Amino acid sequence: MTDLEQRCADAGLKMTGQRRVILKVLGEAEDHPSVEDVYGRAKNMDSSISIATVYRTLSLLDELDLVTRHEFQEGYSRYEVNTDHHHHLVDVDTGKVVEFQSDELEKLKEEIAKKLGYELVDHRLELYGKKLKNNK
Amino acid sequence: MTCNIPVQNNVKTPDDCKCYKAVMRTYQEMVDAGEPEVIALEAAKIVYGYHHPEDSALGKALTVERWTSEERLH
Repeated sequence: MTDLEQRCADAGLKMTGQRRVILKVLGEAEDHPSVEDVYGRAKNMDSSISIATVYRTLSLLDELDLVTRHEFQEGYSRYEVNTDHHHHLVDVDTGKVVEFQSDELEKLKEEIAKKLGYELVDHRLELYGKKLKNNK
Repeated sequence: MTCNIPVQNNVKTPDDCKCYKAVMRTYQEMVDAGEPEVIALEAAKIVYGYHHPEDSALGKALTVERWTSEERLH
């Protein structure tokens, strides 16, 4: 079960085969797909899926706050899976990837953008380090 | 910090390179964390570059992309 499927199950959403396909499409999306995009991609995996099923599923996920609906002034909505915001620290000696969250860092990023006269809309940050010798 | 291993066609041989495991683990864990392929590759290249600062940018890219593509094909 994927993380998104687990979160849907935790939220009480019954997991059908077609919903599983739609969740897979959303989970793999690297863009903000529209309903039509989701429908097209899901249809490639399961030809029995209807656009009505896609609409209903996306509405349910939106109600459960598992996806965010974006309005990009295009006349239709685009969807994005809600994930916990976090960053990665990579141990250069072992390749281990450690997830972390930092409120201070989030504030700092906002402040930097603001000082430069921008509203922050997205960012990417990875840290790379070596474990300190006295830290087991 | 270099592995000092033979290079063929600008690509280091994984069996001889002690940083291979770290590079591949970085790539795999970034993919498992849901990061896009291109970001996982970039992270793997940075880890590789730490161990092989002597390599050119092209050499780093060729080696890491060869290693990860071989892993994907298996």
